[in-house]
Amino acid sequence: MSAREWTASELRRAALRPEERSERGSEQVGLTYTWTALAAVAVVVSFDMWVARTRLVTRRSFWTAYAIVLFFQLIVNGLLTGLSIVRYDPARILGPRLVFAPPEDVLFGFAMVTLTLTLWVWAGRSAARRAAPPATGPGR
Amino acid sequence: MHGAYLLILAACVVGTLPLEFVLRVGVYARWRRLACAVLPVAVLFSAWDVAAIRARWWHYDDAYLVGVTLPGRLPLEELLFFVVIPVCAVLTLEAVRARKPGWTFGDECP
Repeated sequence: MSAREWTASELRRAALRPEERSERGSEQVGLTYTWTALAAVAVVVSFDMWVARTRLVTRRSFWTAYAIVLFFQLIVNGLLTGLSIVRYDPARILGPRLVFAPPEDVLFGFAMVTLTLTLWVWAGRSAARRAAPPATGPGR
Repeated sequence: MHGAYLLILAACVVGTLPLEFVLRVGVYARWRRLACAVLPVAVLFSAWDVAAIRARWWHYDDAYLVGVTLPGRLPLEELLFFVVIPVCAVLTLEAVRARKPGWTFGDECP
């Protein structure tokens, strides 16, 4: 981020939170949404791969569904942010916008959708195993 | 317009209903399994949202909200968002399964 953009970001932030205006404000809170969203993606992918062992992120079925969800997410998120139903503290995000929304929202959405689908598939697999134990199950 | 956010969520629910009733994916019909997938996500992401609102990462414009605020200053619409969007995601996954019966999803019988 250039010095000039940083200053603009500071100004917007100061306007948002005048009571907490400080010289070092952005250093203290910099990009917290960006980092937590990245961490959430890492945690959810790890859960899918090594805890639930559903391995959705290795399947084209998951990525096909996610691509469809992402398309509609960009519309819904674009409405929420474009209409300013939700507004972000500029100090917490990188800055660029994707259909009005910060790209961090895509990471947030990916973590939410992937965790949901992992739990759905995990619950379904558990039920399938109870219904047909491996020793006597028919193979599919 | 106070109902704007709620209207967007309603459009998500209505827009995906044909998957349940035309494509017959049976997601709402398997409501216990759906609850296992959606409730933990709704709790976790609502908690994240409450923390973010408290830390002022973002805020909501009251002009677009119906005005029901849950504990933690969470707008009702946000809690609904964390239920509606996960349900839409499950409907989408099952729609892919309905159209691509040869693909694996990880929950096939072992």
